Amino acid sequence: MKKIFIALIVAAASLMFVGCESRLDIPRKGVIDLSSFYQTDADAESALVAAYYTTGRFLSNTMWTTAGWNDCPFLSMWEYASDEIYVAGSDKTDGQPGNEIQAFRMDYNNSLLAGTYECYYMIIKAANDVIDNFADAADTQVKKRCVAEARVLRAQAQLLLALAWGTAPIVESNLAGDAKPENASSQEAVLQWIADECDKAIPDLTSKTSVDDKKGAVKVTKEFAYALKGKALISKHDYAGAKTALKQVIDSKLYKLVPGEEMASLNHNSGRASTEAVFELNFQFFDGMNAYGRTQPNWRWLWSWRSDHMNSPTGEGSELVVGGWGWVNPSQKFVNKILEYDGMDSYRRKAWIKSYDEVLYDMPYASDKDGLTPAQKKADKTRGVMDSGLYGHVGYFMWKRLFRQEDRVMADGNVANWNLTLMRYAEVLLLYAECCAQTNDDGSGLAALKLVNERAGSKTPVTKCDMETVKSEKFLEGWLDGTRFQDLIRWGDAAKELADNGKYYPTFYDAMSKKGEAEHRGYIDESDADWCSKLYTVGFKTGKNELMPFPFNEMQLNPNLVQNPGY
Amino acid sequence: MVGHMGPATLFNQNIINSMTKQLFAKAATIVMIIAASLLGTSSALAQNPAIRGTVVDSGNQPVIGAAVMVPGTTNGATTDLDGKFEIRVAPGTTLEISCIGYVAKRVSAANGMNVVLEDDAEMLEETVVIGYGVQKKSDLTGSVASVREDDLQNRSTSDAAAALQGKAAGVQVIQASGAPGKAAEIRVRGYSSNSGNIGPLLIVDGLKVDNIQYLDPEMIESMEVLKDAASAAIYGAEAGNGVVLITTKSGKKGEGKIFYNGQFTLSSLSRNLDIMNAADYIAFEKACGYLSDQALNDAHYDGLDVNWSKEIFTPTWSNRHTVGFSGGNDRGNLYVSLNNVHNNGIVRGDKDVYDRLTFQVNADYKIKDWLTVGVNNSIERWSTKSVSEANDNGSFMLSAITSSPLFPVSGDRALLEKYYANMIDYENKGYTLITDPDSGLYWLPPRIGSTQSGHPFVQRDASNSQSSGFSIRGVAYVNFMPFKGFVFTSRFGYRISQSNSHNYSAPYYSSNTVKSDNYSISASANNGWYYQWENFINYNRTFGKHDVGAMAGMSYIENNWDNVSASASGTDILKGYAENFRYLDYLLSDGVTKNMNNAPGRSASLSYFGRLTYSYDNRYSIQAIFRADAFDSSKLPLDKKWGYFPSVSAGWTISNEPFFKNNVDRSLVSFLKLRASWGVNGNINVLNNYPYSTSIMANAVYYQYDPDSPTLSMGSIPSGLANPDLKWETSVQLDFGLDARLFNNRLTVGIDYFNKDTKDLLVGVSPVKEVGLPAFGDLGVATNVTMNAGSVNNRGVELELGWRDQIGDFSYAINANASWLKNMVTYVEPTVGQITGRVPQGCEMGTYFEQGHSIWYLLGYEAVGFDNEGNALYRTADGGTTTSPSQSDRVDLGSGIPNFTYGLTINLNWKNFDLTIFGNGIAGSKIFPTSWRPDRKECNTYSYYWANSWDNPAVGAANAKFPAADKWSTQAFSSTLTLFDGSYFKIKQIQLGYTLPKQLTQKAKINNLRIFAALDNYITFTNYIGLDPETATNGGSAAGIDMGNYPTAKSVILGVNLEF
Repeated sequence: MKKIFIALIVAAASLMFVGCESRLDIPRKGVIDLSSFYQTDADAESALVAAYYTTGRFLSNTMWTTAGWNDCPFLSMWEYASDEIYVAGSDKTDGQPGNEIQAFRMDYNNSLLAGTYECYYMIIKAANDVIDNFADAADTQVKKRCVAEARVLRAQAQLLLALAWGTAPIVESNLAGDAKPENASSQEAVLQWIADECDKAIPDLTSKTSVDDKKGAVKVTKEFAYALKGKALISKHDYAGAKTALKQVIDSKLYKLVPGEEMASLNHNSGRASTEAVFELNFQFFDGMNAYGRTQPNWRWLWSWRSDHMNSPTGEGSELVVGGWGWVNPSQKFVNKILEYDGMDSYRRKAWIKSYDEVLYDMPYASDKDGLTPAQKKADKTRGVMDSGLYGHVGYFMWKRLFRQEDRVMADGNVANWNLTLMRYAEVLLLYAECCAQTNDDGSGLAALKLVNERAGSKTPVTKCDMETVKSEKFLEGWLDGTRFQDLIRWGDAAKELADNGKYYPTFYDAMSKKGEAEHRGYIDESDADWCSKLYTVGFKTGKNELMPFPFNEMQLNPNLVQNPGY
Repeated sequence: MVGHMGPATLFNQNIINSMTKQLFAKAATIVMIIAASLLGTSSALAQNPAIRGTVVDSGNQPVIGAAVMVPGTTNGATTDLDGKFEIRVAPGTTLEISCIGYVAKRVSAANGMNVVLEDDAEMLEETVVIGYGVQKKSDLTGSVASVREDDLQNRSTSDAAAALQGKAAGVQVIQASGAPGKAAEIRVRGYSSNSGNIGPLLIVDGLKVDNIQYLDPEMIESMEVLKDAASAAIYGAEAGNGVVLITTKSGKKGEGKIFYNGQFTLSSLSRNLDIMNAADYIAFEKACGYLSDQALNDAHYDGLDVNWSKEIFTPTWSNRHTVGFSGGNDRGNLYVSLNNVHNNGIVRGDKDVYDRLTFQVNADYKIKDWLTVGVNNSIERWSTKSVSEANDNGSFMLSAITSSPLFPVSGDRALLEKYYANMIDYENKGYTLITDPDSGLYWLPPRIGSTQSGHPFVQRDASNSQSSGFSIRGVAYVNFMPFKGFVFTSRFGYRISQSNSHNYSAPYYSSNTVKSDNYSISASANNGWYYQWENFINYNRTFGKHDVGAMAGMSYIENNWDNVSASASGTDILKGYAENFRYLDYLLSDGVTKNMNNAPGRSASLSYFGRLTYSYDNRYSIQAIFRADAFDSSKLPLDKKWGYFPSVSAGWTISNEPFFKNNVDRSLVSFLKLRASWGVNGNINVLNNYPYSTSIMANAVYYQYDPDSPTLSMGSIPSGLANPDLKWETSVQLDFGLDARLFNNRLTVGIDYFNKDTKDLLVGVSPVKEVGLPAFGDLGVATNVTMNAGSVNNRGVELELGWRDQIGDFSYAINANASWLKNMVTYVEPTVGQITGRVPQGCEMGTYFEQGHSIWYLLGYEAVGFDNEGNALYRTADGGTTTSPSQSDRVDLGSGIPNFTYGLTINLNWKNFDLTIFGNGIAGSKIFPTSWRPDRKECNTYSYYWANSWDNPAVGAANAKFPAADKWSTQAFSSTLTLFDGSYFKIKQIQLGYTLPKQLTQKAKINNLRIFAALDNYITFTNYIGLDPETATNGGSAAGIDMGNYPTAKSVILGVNLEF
């Protein structure tokens, strides 16, 4: 019996040391070991795709950042800091971070600025994932091209940082978690660095194969790199350098402005990768698209009409999608300029904005099925602005970047099937014309201006290439392209043109709904238009507002970062 | 010096003896008078001669207050101060002598009799489960709280964790929701981490379990909580938040029993929902300029005053049944029970229901004298439906608080067509208008005003979801006992679980903000299997005065899961929408966005552990524990996987010292022990998903290079920025304790002081933005770097007091416990600064984790009065006051975590009646009820605010506690003005039972038949304005923020206990 016990004890003891330890090694699913990645051409392509994805995502939206879900870093901040639009919304309490920027009363706590800053560096990180891993070991043409494309994507983000923050740090390779980077030495130095980066990339980049090559419009090409270089150099007033770079794009003969009749398709699904696109980020809805990675999320609500304050045109064939917050409305200044310069009948006016009469009488309403006469339409209560009125509105409706039925792919409307255009041939032509106007035009500047002006069907033909003409054309053509603030700073006109920012937020009413009149009659109510200037010191302040403040959180975390003057 | 003046002076036997005797005499007299008056003492008994006798203990000391009874009658007496009694019975009659702390004895009556009662060894030798073994309670050197069967019997809760509430000092049970099927959370000795996973390790019969909700309190024999690090160290890396050990019932030797316990419960809202009625709401909205008579007219307001609380909550019946069999003999025991719970919550309708069926089989058999085998198995089937709660955006409960009282809850078609044109409009577009399933009436949104989360019943009825599951949990074990004192145990534990959920919702319209444009459907199937294999040896021997114990063992644990889920949504997704089409099988094949998920997973751990105990002469005990744990590579790198957790503890039983024995009367102090312990525990819950490594997430993102086709080119991204130096969170804890039994074991006292430092908390540190960690929250990329960068200190005092006594046939017991807790974040990496917990929408007050403050303290404005216009004034950072403070003026306003918790249980037994009163409470916590948003001023809210507003004519500016209606602001609702004392005391249960006389029941072969009635949660003492201060005090990072939590109901319970 004793032996049994002893045997049992031995068994017991052995049980206690069974080799289970190997069962503790559980490989992670759905991932590749870091050390085995970033090796092959395919890896380089894969990393580059991630850079495009990141660029597309974080130039389109601030989702998951400090700024919240609503804004588009490529456009919003730049548009808010301009005289092109009113940052509006439901009423004066709406959209405060945007209003702070527009009225130049923002400080380092502005969440939209912080989110935008964050977005640009995330793009740089993704590009550095390519450059860090392949630049020194670019033993194939594929790797060289991938590095070159990533270099230009990075330069694009650094350009936006430089234009907004001046000396925002240049991040040339990925930083460690505890890094505390320093400011760049000067804005000029960053701009020159961007131009140099484009030069480094250009030899390894490809070009569009023809004017109609669409694939070449949605990736980084030699020509986009030249355009970007030109933009960087003109921003540091190196007109000769910029002109040379921009001329490369024009001389490539790979780009053509779309006909005036098609202007309204720019920035929309039907204008995807047009002959005019130098570089746009391509996004098409596909079955199973990750809702978070959706291309143009909430900012489509901001950039739509305030449709709950309207009986909107929702009849058969309407382009309008109901549901919008109405944050971006044309400013009186812009409306005046385009009516006076281009005229009501120009292609450009029709493609960019709509009058209240056009909205009321030319767009389809449900009641049209009853075959209303013009007089009946005038008295039709199922159309028009409701008694709540449209805040920050002067009776002209943004059309250029309005979310339309053609852009819509899902009923809830959050996914938009449109591209984000980073560089349009029209901008190249206008930047080129500006270089010519600033130096000595040999006629090519005027030719460039004419291309833009004539395509627009403007009633004011251009006759000479001077800065005044360039400024007029740029204001109108580049409206809602996010360049206005950059232009005014570069031209030295910001103090003058932006002095009144934040002083005027009128409300647009219809006398039918507001006053009970029998017919539609839109009118502007200015009674509370100055609410913002009554509460705050508003308007552009020279010596301060040329640059944005570095976000508070960055200043807290990084003792090496020096704040911009005045903040 | 000490010895000289010592015990003799301190414990003067005579003085104390006479004091206690007087005390007992008084109490006994009072009780006897009451008893006599109730019974109407029979004069017939006076005919028998008086028998006089004395009752003494084994030390020949008189036993005071012992009951001397003629069994089966009401004839009895009680011993006096000298242990003497007198009873009129015929000589030779059998008398039963009983007294608390002694073994009852039956003797034959004789005049001048001297009865010697023996100490109740069982009580003194009570054992507690300590992990891989048991220990005599008197030998414990660590701090272990023990809750017994008696305290768990006939409780109205069906949740084992909830049954612990108020029963043990230092153990806080948080009932964050009163909804059916919502498990209570347990916190042992405070809040140790910024992580949400700070519940204790749960072990049932040796099996590690992920929850104890499946366990009905009726099935539990005892629950032990290992509170100090030294005790918990036997579970090492997982024990940092304490360990709860549960032992389920087993069969007992003797004749088999068949039992049935039943409860029928009528539950209803326990406190009034005090929101504004129509008159107040109109007055308030007018005062703030939102409403006018014109607007009311335009909206055709007809004077209606909806009491939402009455609409939403309704009394409901629930029931619970347990049927079981138990028995045993010298070789084996068997316990089988079947428990069924049907719990329907107090929300109107059947959308909050919990059903559970549990089958428990525990059996063991001694095959040979040296071999025992056994199994414990629990088979559970559950299903649950619930309404949304505790959310500041889209919660059923919050919408109940914020809905306007002016308009009907529901209406017929005519009303709809009259006033709700937009609803008709949407109906024509194909949207469903949600109706009351009972009456068919339409749920109507307010015509003016708003609610914060839509119509409560639209919230309830907009979707149909249900989850249910099936689980088997159990252990099978073999014990070898080859020689004396030696037991080798090999134990295999397993859990097999399967659960399913289904959800379907159709497009509906209620208002412009509360609608859905899409159909959505989803289903998931979750499968898990878990096993643990543990082998350990216990060796316990006594050599003279030396007691030696040793334990050594190993454990391997593996958990596997394989979950599949699928969902689809869109404007048109199914081949049909009738009820029998609402399954994924009937999805349209084209044009429907589908999501599918599956990735099987596994985790594993390996541990070695050991324990040595030594005690000398029942006076000095010392215990040392060591455990080494290794976890799989998803937590820490394989070369750093081992963690080592040591502990030591010691006890000194002073009462067994000769000097004490010789000087202190043991009927005064029978037991006195001092304990001290030190130990290290870990917390593994916070390390998951390979936080130490960066990998490449393959093909996680895409770009489309062709504008004419949505073809994707896939891209791979790094998974984050890794910290290869990660280690697990550890706690070091010191504990000092004192245990004593006094007055013939009537009074038990336990006092503990602990100091627990948790360090190396895992904190997500955000690098500077220039580092560019992508905000790919949706892709699972870490947006910060996980670092060991924080420390928390918890210290406190715990007190347990128990008093039990018996006077004649009246016995009673009072148990009280209390704990004081101080909690402090002692370190947070400076670059992290403040970690945000929860800031409700539209508020500037929220919870934060920051050095120098209590964990998740509330940061908000300090209001100091009002200006002449009714604006609130707030303290600024520089000491001034302002009406428009900035965020930097916010200060620490306290925390939702109480610093004092207590419980009280009173048990009274008299003849066949028993009465239990149980209550618990907390103090020192704050609650911030969120019911107002600056952008939803037209919502209803708690009456308190308007009733105390500066401009309410009924209040007057001088007595105002709240700003003028049109000055209500985000800051006001983020300040001390909206912060309330969360202290409460609840009488959780009053239970009165009656056991039918045995003579009667035995005729029907019934051994025991008890009926009872109970009132649960009927009385709450609190100053809180919301529905339930208890559920508002939840245990996570939103502690103290009441975003509309499901209140605990009050209940009337009728029950029966039957045993054959």
